[in-house]
Amino acid sequence: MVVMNDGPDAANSLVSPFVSSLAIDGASISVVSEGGRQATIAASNADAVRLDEFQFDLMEGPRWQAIDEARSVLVAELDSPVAQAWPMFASTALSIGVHAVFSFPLRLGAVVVGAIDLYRRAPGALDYDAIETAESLARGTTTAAARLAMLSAGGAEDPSGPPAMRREVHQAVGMIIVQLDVSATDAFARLRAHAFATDRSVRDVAADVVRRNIDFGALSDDPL
Amino acid sequence: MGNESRESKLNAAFVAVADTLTADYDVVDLLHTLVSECTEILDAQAGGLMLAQPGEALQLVASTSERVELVEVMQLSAGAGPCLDCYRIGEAIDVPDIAATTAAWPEFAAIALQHGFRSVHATPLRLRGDVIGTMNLFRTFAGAFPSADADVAQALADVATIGILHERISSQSGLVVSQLQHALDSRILIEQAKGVLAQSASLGMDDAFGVLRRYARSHAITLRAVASGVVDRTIGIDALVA
Repeated sequence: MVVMNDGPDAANSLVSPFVSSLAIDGASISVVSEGGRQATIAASNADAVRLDEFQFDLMEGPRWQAIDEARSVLVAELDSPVAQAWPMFASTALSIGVHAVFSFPLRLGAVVVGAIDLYRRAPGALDYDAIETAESLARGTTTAAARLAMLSAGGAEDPSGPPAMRREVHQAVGMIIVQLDVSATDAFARLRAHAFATDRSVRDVAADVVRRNIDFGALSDDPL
Repeated sequence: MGNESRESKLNAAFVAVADTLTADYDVVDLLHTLVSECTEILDAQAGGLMLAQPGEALQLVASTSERVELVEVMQLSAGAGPCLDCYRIGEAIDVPDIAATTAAWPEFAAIALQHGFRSVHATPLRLRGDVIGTMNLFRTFAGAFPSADADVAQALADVATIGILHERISSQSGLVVSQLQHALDSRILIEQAKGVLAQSASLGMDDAFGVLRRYARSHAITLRAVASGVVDRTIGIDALVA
């Protein structure tokens, strides 16, 4: 688990609405880090943490697909041919008694910030209303998850503003897409990585990108 | 302004807002039309419209200019200024003389005056008793916003918010919150697309927005669709900056 500046309470309050309003046993939120890695920022219980670790260690599972394809991946029964896309994850999850996993990407425009994973011990699909609720909750969680991801990048964020929504950050992502010829998701991760490496806030670095003081295509000190 | 010309402009404004509702529209396009029309017919020199999800800060979704100056004034107004007050109480806020508000809103007043704005009128966007946002109209001269103008601004804002409600019903999507989230996300996508254009074509952010808007109009598609195509590179820069 990554220790967040806001403390575990701020992060865990992000997963509680999912657990309280849906027929599930647990939830976790992970964010995409530089180099395509992922970090868990919140988990509702020990099983949720373990499921996160399985996907992380095995480098496979519905969350990877949700992030790669920027769409929801819903698995009503892991003990079925549907789950054969992730055979190691499916058998490991089943071994701790988890049968259903639902992954929703957290998107800021074209950027996939991370994903929220929901799991249930009993098999069974989420119904239409539950999917709507989960997707709406996921959208509502994105800003806060992005804020935590940006805080974890280091530097001091302006506590008065909502950094994830500052225009310069999104504009800088667009510019880095072109500078490095990468996806929006990778551009956002590189922006955060650079902020971390130079001990600055994401917003400060973004403002420099927009003012054309920093060109990621010309950087040699990038940690990647 | 004569009554006849005012009435015809008003009619045109309602038609423009209503037109946005008939086609395959997006909330951002609708709100952009709303703030542009209100600014034009109500003798304002700049306007901006902000939305907020419950519990989150107000975000600028549409404005008559994308220049940093107006964006900054709007953001300050949402931090401590007429935008925030209007949103909190759900009533219109009229500020006939911004210079007289330096004690209440020092940052907002200083920057607004620095950019030449002397008065501002904030209109709430209300949906079934909930306040979902606020529209600010700025003038470069002092004076109270005439009550007839305030009524027009509120009426047009109401039509636009009904449009958000209408989209909600037609898409069966359940929650007004989803529409707000969608509008705010569209805005993020537009900012990312502005960045792509700014880097690819060496444009300023305001010009980049103009390019997106012209392309959307000439191809009769939503701003969100253009932005999405620019960011995932399915719409080439050559096609945009022709």
